[in-house]
This record gives sequence, structure tokens and C-alpha cells, in this order.
Amino acid sequence: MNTIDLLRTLDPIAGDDPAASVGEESRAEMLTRIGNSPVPVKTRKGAVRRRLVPALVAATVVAAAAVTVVELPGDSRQEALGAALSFNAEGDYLRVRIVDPYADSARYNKEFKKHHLNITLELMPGSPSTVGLSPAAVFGPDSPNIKQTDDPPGCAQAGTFPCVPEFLIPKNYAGEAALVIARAARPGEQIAFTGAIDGRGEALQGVKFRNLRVSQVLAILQQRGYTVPEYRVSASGTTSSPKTVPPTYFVKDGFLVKDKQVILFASARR
Amino acid sequence: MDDPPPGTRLAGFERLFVQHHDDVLRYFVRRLDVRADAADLLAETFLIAWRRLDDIPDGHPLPWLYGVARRVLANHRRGETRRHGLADKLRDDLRAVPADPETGLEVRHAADVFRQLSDRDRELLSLVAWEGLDTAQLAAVLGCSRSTATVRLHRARRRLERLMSQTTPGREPARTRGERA
Repeated sequence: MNTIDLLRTLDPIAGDDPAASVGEESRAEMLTRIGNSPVPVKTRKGAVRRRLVPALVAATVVAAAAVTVVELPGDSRQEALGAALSFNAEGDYLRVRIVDPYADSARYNKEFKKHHLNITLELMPGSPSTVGLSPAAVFGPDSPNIKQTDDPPGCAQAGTFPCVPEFLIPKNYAGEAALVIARAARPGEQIAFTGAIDGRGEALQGVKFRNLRVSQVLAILQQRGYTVPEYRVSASGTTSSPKTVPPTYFVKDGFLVKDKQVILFASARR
Repeated sequence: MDDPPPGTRLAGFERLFVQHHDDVLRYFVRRLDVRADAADLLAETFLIAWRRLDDIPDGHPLPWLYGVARRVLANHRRGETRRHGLADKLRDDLRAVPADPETGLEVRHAADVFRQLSDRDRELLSLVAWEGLDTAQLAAVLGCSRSTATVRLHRARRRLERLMSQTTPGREPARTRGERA
């Protein structure tokens, strides 16, 4: 037996495939929820300008305050807004902290560039329990050297929820990285990252909703000011998205799609 | 280039997810002590894939996915796993603890020796033996040239074979001077 053949006998899942224990409902739920999250705005220069220029024109007409979210890269008004990030040297690392969690990507990226770092940071709308967490992502051959702290020391004790993540980046870091943090969603904005629907600040916080009837969960949601524009129903390996389901169906899960709108997973069987 | 229509993008992602969900899940379960931890890591990997769908090489998505999975796993080992609500159901599915299989002396010896290798060598050999990658795919996962991947694999095999020959089943390996434990 050669070395590779011998190693095959060590496969920890030989004869016990974990994929066999994953139900259709789990697969459908993950696929649906990821597919419902918005795609990030591309940072290619042309694409940024095409998207942002009309928004800038509209913003100046509607409200001056809105200009803070449509700054073009290199705009001199960015400086007037102050630093979006703070950088502190710690040995061979730079500790990077988010000072302004509502800044746009261009401001972060400009500040990273000032420190000769080819890093992009994007804040995307998250459901309440995910705010401040980092659901993704590091890229580039050396980016595992970037260390991330989701709960900086003292933050939880101080009760300043959400904790703002910090990053430790090697001073000589020459690779690329794309970091993403979830921020609170603005009214009407589609949620990119969703937490458990009974999590902190979420639509069904404190409710043991699994296997309650759809009519029961709807009553609770309506009381809390939420609507359900759509359902997900899995059967025989396919998932449908009906606008309504029988009120006697059982609720299996759910997630926030935008402020006060929830999608529920429902099933005819308990 | 303009973005594809949302429906096209979703269909592309759905194909990727359906075809490779199980491959990526197995990758994580093979490398984790707690099987249910794979749920969050799988969710994170596919969330990244959804966000970076345009970067995935046409026709060769699996090595790219394994490359992302390696980095997600590295983050997890540094204690930086994010808990995904979207992985709750999968986490429940994976909670069952598999039975320890009966193994012979030779296999237990091989397992002991395999654990003596560096993380890097173990990962290289695992990608080939367990995930079944060829050297071109290995190069894509590691982000290096095919020839570099071939040399690295060859050296890892040599180190494993040397350790195997230096030990007998049931005995501690004799370490060569300067060799990593």
C-alpha cells in the first residue's frame, strides 16, 4: 500500500458521511438565506462612479446630511468628517479600530491606503443580533496573519453593545484583504446578514416559536409591528416561496429581510 | 462588464451550492473535533462564495471553495468563528456523534505518525488523500504554481514515509535532530 492509499484509510469520515445526516430543509434554508442577502457594491472605480454619481446629485437636492453616505473616492469633504478608523502601533502590528461605524467603504479604504495597506473594509446591514459582528471575510495569501477581535476587552463588561471589532494587521502586510462588518440597517434597507430570529433584538426575541402554528406566530409578529411578505415551504427536495400558507402550518424558522419584514419557514408537518 | 441579472446570479449560486455543499461540509468535518462546528464554517464559506461569485474560476469552483474553506478554518482555529443564524438547522443535523470505528494496529500506527507531521504537511496530504485533489487542483487551493505544489507534496510524502520507517507500531518515533515534533 503506498502512502496516499494508507492515508485514505485514516479518512475520519470513511463509512460515516456527514452529508447523509443533513436534511433537505437545512440545505434549503441555508441556500435561501444566503441567496436573499444582497451582493456587495463593487469597488471597481468605474462601477463606483456609475452608481454613486446619480445618488450624489439626488442627495444634494434632497438633504445635505445624506451626502455623508455618497462621498466619491478622493472627495475633499471626507476630511471634514474626521477619521473613520484609528491606527495604533503595537509591536509588529497595527491595531485598527472602527471609529465611525456608518462611514462608507471609500473612507475606510482611503485611510487603509494612507497606511500602505491594500485592505478594503465594508459595513453591511445586519439584523439586530448580528450588528458589530464580522460574518466574513479575509482573502489574499497572507491574510490569515490578520487577527480579529469581535469583542475587544472591556466592551462586554461595559455593556456597550454592540462591541466594535478590532483588527491586528502586520505592519509589513503586503497582501490584499476584504473585511466585512455588520452594521444596523437603515429603514427600508435589505438585510445582508441575519441572526437567529429569536436572538437579541430580533423579531421573535424571547418566543419559543418552533412548531407553533403560523397563525400563532403571525399574531405575535403583528403585535410587534412585523409583516410576513413571503414564506418558504420545503417539500420533496424543492423549496417554494408562496405569499400565503394555511394558518395551521407549523413554523420552523424565520429571518429578517428588512426592517419589520420577516420571512417564515413553514411546514405542513410538525 | 455589467453585473448579471439577479436571477442569473442566484441560479449560478444555487448550482454551486447544490454541487459542492457536501464536499465543503466533508472538508470541515474531517478537520474538526466537534462535528456541529462545521455548520457555521460551511455557512461562512458559502456566504463568501455568494459575495464573490464573479471571482470564482469558470469550470473549477471546488479548489477555489477549498481555498476559502482553509482560511475560514484558520480563523476558526484562532477562535474567531462567527455564529450564523442561517446555520442553526444544519448545526442540529450534525449534532449526532459518530461511533469510533474499530481500527487495526497498522492504521492506528499510521494515524499516530500522521499526527507527528506539521499542520502544513498534514493539510497537503489530506487534500490529496481525502479530498482526492490532483496537483493542478492542489496548486489552485494553495495559491501556488503546479510545480511548487508537486514539490511540496513530494516533500510531505517523504517526511511521512521517513517517520513511518523510523517507528514501529506501538512505539514513539525516534526524532531526527532538528526535525519538528
